Amino acid sequence: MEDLSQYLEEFLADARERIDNLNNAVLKLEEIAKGRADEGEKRRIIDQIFREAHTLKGTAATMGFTELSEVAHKMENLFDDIREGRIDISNDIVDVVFEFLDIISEMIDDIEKGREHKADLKSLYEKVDKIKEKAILESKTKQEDDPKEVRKYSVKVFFDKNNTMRGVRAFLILSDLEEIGEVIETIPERKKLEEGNLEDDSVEYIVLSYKTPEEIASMIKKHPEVLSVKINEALEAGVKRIEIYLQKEAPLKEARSFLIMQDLERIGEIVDIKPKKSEIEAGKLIDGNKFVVYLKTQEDEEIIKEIITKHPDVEKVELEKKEEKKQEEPNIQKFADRIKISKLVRINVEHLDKLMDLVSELVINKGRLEQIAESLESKELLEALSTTSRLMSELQEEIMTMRLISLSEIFNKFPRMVRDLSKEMGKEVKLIMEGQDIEVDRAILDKLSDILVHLLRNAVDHGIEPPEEREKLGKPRVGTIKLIAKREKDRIEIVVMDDGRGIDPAKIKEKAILRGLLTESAANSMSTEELLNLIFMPGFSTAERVSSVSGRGVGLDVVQEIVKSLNGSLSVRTEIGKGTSFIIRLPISTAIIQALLIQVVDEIYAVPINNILESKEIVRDEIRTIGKKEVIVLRGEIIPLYMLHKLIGLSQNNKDRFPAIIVDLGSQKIAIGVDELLHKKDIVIKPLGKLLSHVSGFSGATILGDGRVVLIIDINSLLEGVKYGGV
Amino acid sequence: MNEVVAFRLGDEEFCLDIANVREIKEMMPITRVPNAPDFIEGVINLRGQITAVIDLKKKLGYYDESTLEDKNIIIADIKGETVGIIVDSVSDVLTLSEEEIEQPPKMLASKVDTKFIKGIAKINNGERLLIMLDLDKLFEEDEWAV
Repeated sequence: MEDLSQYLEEFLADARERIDNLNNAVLKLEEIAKGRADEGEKRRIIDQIFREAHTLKGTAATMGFTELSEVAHKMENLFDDIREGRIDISNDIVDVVFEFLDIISEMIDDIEKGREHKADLKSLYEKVDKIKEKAILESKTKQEDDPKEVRKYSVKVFFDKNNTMRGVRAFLILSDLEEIGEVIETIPERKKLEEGNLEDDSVEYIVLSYKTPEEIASMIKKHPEVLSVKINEALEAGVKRIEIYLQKEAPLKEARSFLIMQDLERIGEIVDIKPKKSEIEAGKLIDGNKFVVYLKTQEDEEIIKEIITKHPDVEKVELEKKEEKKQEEPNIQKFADRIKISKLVRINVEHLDKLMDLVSELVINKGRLEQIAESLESKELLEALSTTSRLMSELQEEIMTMRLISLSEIFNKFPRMVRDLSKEMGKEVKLIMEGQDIEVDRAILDKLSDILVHLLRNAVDHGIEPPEEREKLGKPRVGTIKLIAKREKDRIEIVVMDDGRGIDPAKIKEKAILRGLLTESAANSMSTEELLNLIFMPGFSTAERVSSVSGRGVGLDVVQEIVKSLNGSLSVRTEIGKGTSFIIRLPISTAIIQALLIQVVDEIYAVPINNILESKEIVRDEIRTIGKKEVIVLRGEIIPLYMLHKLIGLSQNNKDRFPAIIVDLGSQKIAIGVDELLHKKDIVIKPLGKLLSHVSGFSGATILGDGRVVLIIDINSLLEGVKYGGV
Repeated sequence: MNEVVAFRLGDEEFCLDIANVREIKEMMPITRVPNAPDFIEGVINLRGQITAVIDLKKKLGYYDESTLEDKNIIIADIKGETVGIIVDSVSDVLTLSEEEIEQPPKMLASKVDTKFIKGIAKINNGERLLIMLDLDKLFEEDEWAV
């Protein structure tokens, strides 16, 4: 049992990852069921699902979870049927597969918690059987020529050289071939055929089709201008297709081509050449500088390339190895995955948290040591401390990086969630995601997940209109929700945007008064922006009806609270009839930041360094007033000046000179006057707690080396009133 | 059986359920939080954790000019949040029997709003009265916002 538990964690993590992958793959499959992807893509996804289910089955069995293994096995079987064309992908199947995934994921939760699983597997299996029966019945009644194996052919068609219509004919044959399969490639290129241009007397089509060569040949021969048709199964094993491009202005291309072919013949057998040898010898290359060699060889791609590129005048070489490649690809991929895994170590998050805590404590302790060293005036100790300090920042950075996790970890779950929600709500929604690769601290990621679930739910439930309503409004039936993450220095911005009905400030006003959150006169004096911000108030919910999706008004106030606890900000932009965007700005890491300590009267505050553009000494005589507001002029720019004293309710002293920090408020620069700039310092951000969560102006607090608590100023919220003309 | 921590505010005696109380501290440096509600005195460093401290007298509506010096801070849990509560002095830790506890009267000769009172403990046949505070009610969700 001990052996098993040792791997259990890894198994669970791996299984969950697979379920995420599967969910997303099945979503793509659903698109395919609607006919939105091409055949190759379809095959790739079905293969992927099959493989993931297969691996899950295997690992579950190894771990002794027979029931889970069995469920995965059933799913694998289902996809085997789909892969072999015995069952068509339908919406029924997609729903059943999602059911499979939900049950598997429940089973994994149960395994983790050590519970017994009591899922209704029987009814699930019955559903699968029904689908299979139905599919078999349908396929019998469908066409008689049951789908045979799809093969890849090279179809070479020769025309009468004197026929001027051969270009058009080549194009018609292309259309015919597309009816019976997929044309992957043509030589000359497709564009030329579409234009009806054919200089050569032959065309090669590379076709994927389930028809036999005979069937294809007889179809082509119906066209009058065709002299003959040559059909080969495209490239037998070991044959490589080598495209060689010579430099356009290279002299004696025919001789060069000849020499290259001679070299190639030393390492293998030339099966075919394009254009014909006689034409190459006459200097007639494809597009004037390209020829293609089909070479049967055992040599590596690299060696072949080397042989060709050592010739002067070769612009580039493109190698394609057919048939073999197809089978090798997944193997290579698997191998690469294995290598990747061996470089990774899975660590329980708690260890990292502990490590982070320890570093935080070290940072505080370092501060204490620095103070002692200063009071002792010991130069040696200070020097030693400065080295320690540097090493600690490196350690800190390394741990912070370790804690960074890609957003895709949570984003991956959203497509499925949005699909389920929209189905439940009778909406049609397309989710577009960007920036999944951005990494954030995992503490943030955990909370971010809650926030985004909330906002996405809101968007589906309240934002996007029902399809009929959208059509009436002249909008596309399918609503779009965008989830976009962007990185800006050490912050990330995440936008949840829908193209739904938007939020009507008038409705908000109505509701707020109705809920008794606001008196009518207070509401009437509010700006649109202020009205919109009411949606973040506790007890406010714009939902006109209670649904299982948006729940009972536990809404945006909770989101707002979480964002604040992460030292972030949340804002909303909306336009009636056009849609709503929620914009979240968060620091990438919450734990440690660099700050400038400043003093006002006898109080010390910390200002995050990244808020500060510069500091400046201000001479009282240089202060100007515009209207009733004080401004300073900095390099020709007029910047409003506010005294921190006033902002935090202390009385101002009228010194002749005082320092100020210049901060960027996004749209505008502002100078904040203080009494003294102390020093820069790494500080550990600690939350102020729930009781103070509504207090604006501060994002948290930190503890200095002497144990003193110092508040961290959040410039934006501190100046909130100021921006709109207050103070 | 009810174990409580008894404390004084002015000349009245109050008590809190000991289950809510984590520890009792001497007065320590408090960092003021600008823009916070009046009854929030500030924050303290409680073994590395930032803890809000409230002046219970202010919260209950007492007028008090005395300095914070020599007062005590009761560290309590309110709805899962650790909060420091400033009281004039902690007087006792005692066990109350059910018989000693009475429902709060409708009218009370104290400034405290009766809705914040869980009950009145009468000790020694009413010689000593303890007002049992209901911390959770005192910090009801809407009160936190202010």
